[in-house]
Amino acid sequence: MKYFVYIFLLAVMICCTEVPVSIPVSGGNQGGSQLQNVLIEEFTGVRCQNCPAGAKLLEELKTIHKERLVVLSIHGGFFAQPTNAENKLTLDNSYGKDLIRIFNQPQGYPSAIVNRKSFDGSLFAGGNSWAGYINTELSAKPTVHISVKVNADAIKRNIRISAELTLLQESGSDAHFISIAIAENNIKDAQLTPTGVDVNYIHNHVMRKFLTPVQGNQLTALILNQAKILNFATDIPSDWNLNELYAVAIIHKGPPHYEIIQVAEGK
Amino acid sequence: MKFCFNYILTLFFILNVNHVRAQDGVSTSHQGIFNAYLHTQAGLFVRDSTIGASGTPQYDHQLFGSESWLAMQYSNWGFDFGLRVDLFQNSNLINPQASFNKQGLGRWFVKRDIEKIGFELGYIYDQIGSGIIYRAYEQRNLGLDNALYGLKLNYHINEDWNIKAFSGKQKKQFDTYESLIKGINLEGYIQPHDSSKWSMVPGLGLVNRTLDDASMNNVLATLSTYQSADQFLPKYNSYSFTIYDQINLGNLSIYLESAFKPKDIINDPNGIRKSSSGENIIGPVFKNKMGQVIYGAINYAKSGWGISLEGKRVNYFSVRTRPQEELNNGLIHFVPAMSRQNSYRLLSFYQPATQEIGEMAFQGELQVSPLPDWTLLFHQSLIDDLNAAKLYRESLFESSIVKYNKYTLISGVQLREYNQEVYEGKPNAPIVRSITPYVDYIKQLNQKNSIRINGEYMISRQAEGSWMNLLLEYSIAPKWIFTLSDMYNVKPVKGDKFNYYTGGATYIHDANRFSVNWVRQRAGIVCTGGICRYEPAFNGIKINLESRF
Repeated sequence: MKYFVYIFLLAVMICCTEVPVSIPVSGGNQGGSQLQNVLIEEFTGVRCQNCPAGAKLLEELKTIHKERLVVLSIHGGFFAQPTNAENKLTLDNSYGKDLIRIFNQPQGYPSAIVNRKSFDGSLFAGGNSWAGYINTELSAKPTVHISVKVNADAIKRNIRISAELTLLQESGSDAHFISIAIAENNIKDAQLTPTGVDVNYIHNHVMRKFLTPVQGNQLTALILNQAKILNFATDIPSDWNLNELYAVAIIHKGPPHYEIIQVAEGK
Repeated sequence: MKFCFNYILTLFFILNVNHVRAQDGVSTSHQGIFNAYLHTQAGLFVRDSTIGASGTPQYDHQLFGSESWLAMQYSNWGFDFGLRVDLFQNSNLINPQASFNKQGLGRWFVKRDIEKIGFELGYIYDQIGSGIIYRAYEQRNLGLDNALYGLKLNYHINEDWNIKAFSGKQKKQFDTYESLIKGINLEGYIQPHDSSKWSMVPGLGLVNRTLDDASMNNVLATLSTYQSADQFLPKYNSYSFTIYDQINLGNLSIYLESAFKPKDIINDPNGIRKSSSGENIIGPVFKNKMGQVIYGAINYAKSGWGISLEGKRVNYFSVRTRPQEELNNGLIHFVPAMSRQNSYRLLSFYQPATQEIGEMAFQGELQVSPLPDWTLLFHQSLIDDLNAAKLYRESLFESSIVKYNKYTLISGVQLREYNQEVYEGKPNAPIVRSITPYVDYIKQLNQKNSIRINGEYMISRQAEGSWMNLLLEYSIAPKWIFTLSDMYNVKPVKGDKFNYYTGGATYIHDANRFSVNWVRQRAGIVCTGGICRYEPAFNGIKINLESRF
């Protein structure tokens, strides 16, 4: 019997050595017209106390990856309604509800979908996984290039968005869809935080509107290396700050998961 | 997986043919035993946005959701074969806010003991000690199925000592997590001689988890966004050790367990780290921490009275398949809860979940029977965090009078304090204080018929205010139970008053039980054994079927 105890203890003592890993250096992902960008759709709500931490993490990631990371914060679901008594604005909208209808509501907030792909068996990921999944997606080879131009008319209060698409390589028989969204930065309204409701909280990347159905519009076949320009326009409500708006053009697959092929933002 | 499923079904068919033949007398050399258990729960969802029963696919457009499990086991030739088919159809069990649609093979196993050696292959449920470092188990009402998909080997060293080793991956619905889990457990039985008054069951255990490359790369990518002061070098392998002993001395039994985990990545959900601009970020943060749990339980029972005491201290002890997993996902272990498992509705209104990051907890229960048909019970739970901040208190006094074939009268009062800020993540929420008197009376009308009346009244000025619950139950033994109940928020702190009523019937025939109920149920936190999750409001019809054959 005692030999088994010795073997057990010996196994415990010798089993704990491994070659140390190293932490990669962040960044170095700037620019480049032929690179794969990543869309992160964060599901958040004004009554979610952990969401400000998620928002800060997104800002960190945005600082690292710059325009290669496109952020949309979707206010919707259990933590978005009802709002805190201190809220003056309604940040959730029907487009967010449509996205939740398609992708379901995450088990916990904040959660995000990275390029609308499942990682480790789940579409939604908690904050501690975002950086890794983004890195994985950034290293993919792009098949489409998008360039987004935005013209805002402050007097007429409308914006026109021009998306130029170029197929860089053939990628099978999947149809391409395009979705165009508008998001707004720097919105001041109440938010629950770990220390209580912050009435001066600044919300960034708030998804305001989709100019297409959230499922996207199917594109006619793109021709290799030939640019295709699509134009979109919409009026802007008076309470949206035109200077803080940016447009997001998303090329994605069709149902059921609408996986992202390429994404770009323009201001 | 499909091939495997078909293959196993075919195997079962062949085995059953042999079994039938054996019964027909064609062959009597192999008498097999087959048994099965079917469990179905279904819901017809009726939208009621006034109580929050809305906004999920089931209420919005699916209207129906169900889960079914058919578990079958066949034993013959010294082998046990098991198979379970799981069906999730528009199910909100896995994620209460979403819909899960998948069906297939939920479990299979082959088990055999050959003299000193035994093995089990497939989806294995097992634990080491009390489960503090390893527990592979199923908890259906919480949507948990943490079976280990792998191999377990047993070796009976002698008639008193046993060693087992296992390795595999944890089940994740119809898939597995990628991290590899290995473990070894030595357990024995010591009694100096047959007439000795004392005996003990000591054990040692070790569990190792090796992270898969994708999970490690993900952790490293996350750490690369941290400031250097918050960074650390994670390791692929984590180890959890435990030593435990169950000592029996006459009417006294003592259980002690100490578990330890060297530095490992742990997700602190309320951690603090610096952002690149120097401000504090409060939220989920990876930390590199040693973990420890000390747990003890003492039970003493004598004619007319009994006492049980339990205590535990938890410090950064989380054993998961990967550190990114949150809520109830990917749990490899189980730390026993230190609160009473109450079955009455208002007594279980606020339940504390085990705090992996740190808690100090005690509970004790004293039962005294002054008369043969009268029992008094006193229970006390105390849970604090490691900085001595109050998390949970429960005092319960209960009297039970059982007059055989006449009536049963249970009455009592519960006093409770519950830290809503910690358990429900509500910043600045006050401690919930409640007093709940209750009574449960069962009157045996005759040999077949009985009536039960259960009333509870919870007085509270915090959180969801004061509630009452009334339940009426009429039983016609052994077949029928009819139930009517209503839960009502008498004095809500804010919002409207609602009736949450249930009415239905249960039919029991042999080993079959079928129930159908109209249910209007509030949203809340549901906990079992210290593990909790958010349960959304329900409005509609619930159907439940259990059948053993």
